[in-house]
Amino acid sequence: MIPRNIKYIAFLLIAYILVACTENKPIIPCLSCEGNTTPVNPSTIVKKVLMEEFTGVRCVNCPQAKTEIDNLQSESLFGEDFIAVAYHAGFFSRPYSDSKNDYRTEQGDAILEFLDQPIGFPSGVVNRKQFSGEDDLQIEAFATWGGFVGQELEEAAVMSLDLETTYNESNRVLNVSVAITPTENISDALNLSVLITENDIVDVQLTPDGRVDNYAQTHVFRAMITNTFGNRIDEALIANQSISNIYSFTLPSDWVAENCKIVAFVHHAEQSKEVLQVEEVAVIK
Amino acid sequence: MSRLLLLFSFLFYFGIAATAQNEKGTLSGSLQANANIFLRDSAIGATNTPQYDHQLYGADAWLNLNYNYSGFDVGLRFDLFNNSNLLNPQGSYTAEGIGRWYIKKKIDKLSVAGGYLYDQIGSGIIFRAYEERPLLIDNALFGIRLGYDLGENWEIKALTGRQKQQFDTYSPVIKAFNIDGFVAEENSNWSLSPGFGVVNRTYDDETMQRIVGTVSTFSVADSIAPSFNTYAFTLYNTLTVGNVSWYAEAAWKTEDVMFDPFATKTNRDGSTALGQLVNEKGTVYYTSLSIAGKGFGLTLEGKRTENFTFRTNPFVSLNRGMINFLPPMVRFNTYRLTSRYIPAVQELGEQAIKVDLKFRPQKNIGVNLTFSDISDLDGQLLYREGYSEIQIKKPRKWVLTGGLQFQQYNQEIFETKPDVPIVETLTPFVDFLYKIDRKKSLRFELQYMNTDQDFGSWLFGLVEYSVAPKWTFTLSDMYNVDPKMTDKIHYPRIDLFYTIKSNRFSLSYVKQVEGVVCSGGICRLEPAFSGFRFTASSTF
Repeated sequence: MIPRNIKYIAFLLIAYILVACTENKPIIPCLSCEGNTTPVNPSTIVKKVLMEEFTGVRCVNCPQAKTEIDNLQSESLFGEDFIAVAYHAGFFSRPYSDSKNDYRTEQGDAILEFLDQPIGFPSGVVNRKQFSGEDDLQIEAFATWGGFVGQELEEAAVMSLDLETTYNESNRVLNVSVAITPTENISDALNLSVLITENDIVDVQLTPDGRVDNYAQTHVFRAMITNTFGNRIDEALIANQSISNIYSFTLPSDWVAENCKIVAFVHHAEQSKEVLQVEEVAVIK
Repeated sequence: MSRLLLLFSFLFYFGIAATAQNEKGTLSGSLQANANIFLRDSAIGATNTPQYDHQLYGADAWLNLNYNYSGFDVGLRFDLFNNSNLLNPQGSYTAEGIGRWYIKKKIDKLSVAGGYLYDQIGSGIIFRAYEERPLLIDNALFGIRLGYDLGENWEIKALTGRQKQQFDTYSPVIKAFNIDGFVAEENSNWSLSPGFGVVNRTYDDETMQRIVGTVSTFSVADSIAPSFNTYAFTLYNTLTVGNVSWYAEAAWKTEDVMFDPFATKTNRDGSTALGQLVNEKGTVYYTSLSIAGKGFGLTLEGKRTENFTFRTNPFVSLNRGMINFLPPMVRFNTYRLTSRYIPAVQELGEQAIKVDLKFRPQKNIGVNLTFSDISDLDGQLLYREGYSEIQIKKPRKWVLTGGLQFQQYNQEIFETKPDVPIVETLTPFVDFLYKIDRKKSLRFELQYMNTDQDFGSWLFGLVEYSVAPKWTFTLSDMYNVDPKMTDKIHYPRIDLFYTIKSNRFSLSYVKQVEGVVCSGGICRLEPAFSGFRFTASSTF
């Protein structure tokens, strides 16, 4: 027997669904439309965003993630405000027998463990921040990285970083000067990490279309210049007063100096790992 | 901690009240605990995880307590994860706390439940809150459920809450409504069990801002218009006539933002790439027909899925944040080699049929035949399996089981491996159980998987000696006799099981081969395991 009051329940359901269909949808800003530009932070100093991508030559979907990074770095989108480092680490980073190089490093492996092992690859960490709803720092869905980066770009910058490099081609010695200028007094324990990346390394890579022998790797993490997890900033961080550190590093002979970049970032060193500011500069300008 | 104190206070209050009124409540519980000792073995790939590198030990445990008094059901579960690899097989997860609590009460025709709730609508296609501990799936809904009896055979229920995320909850809100009924006429041989359900997921502002932020980076051609609310509806019915039972369910979902790894994205420079957020409607049609007779059973199943990823938000992947459950259309295999290749359900699109036939040609002989065929919506083969098994029994003496399985497994799709051929396997197996006396028995298994693809052919053997009801000792080995990717490696395993009353303990030495599982463009390594494993389970 079908209960008589079921028609009232059906009526209530339909009424609810009809009411629910009237929601106001969000407005989608079109960053690529003519006349629109990337949202600009109202402060004169822009908080740039660091993406630490974990990749590998055997990771079939990683080239798609690299394409997404290239896309987000385009001038019409986030441009130079978005800085990427690609660590070859984890299960899919084992080189092939005919790979020219092994891009894995002990430092990269240590950073992967420090930033939580992702549940799958490719994966990226945005400003070493755990976003709400995420299990950890790692964001595997590369198609959604833009949303996280955009969210971080809207934050106010609390410091600026100025990088200067001098490179001696004869002995391959690189000097890097990092100047930190806070916009407010900061008493938190902070670290400064400085590392080297290299672009346009042509080698074997697995792609959705199969193995590609002449694939151009970009933003490849090469080495830390500071300690793996950064050097503690011992100086007091007082508003508008700059502090500087100078580092030296000798580039190995098989790295192409013209393709190398220095990435420096200041990040929390105790409870949080969050990056406060990041900057990038070419080894040879 | 405050929740823990509240619950214990609640239990304590009921205990006192019960004593004062000389009424007895019922306290019951269960424990499941696993401990792993990790022994690095780079030859099989058991390396490069925190457990193998320096932690060396990991454990998971669930202690469940339930108290029933005067129509109240109160439950509390303590969960513990110490350097656990369940949440992420390559990572280490440490946390502990109250993993679940609930209070339930039936008041006349009204039933009320609050806390972390497990439930489902229909077969779970639009909503299933469930727990799967080996994969650390715990999709409990943290909220309220109201149920009401509409007469003798009809019940409605409504739920609202947020999905559990380890010891937290996802932000989007989930609401569900369900009506289930039963219709039959007296002295007739037919009945109907119809039902209808609707689920609504509402994004919170931060999730929507993140989606908007992502979509704003898309080209104009790729742009989508996400909604805060997504609805899923299902209509289902079981018709039973005599020995025939026919279940049919149709589910629809309104536009929902999801990641499609095969969608084409246009980049800023005009180039294209695969992998994109899309905003699509979805459907699932599922049916199952069962015919049972004397010594005979036939089940036919069919399913078609299109764009039915339904998660708390589009940023989660693999087995995280699933609101629903799509029934797999493959046989649940238990032998080591017949269960080596398991196709993952394709949420974005698949069509599948499954036929399962059981019959007994003689009293002591049972035969089971199963056929599954799964393809994508364009007809491309994803998985095909034929399985035959015959079981012959000599009562109180021995049981002989033998059979043959063949599989075609589209590794290119399931594991996102480009340009690899379909894995084709042929696996004969035999299982012989010999009862030495009333207590002692010996069991042998021998399986051989013949394949020219992936890792190549495998041989598996097992010997098991049992002294009922307490002891079981098992020794097994898996060996790649014709390896295609590695050296010839043995994967031995030794197990000791001890059961006393409602307590069961096991101690194992395990070497287990690695595998790769991919879903939605993300590939997850199920690492090889090498080490000792201890488990304890108890009910009280």
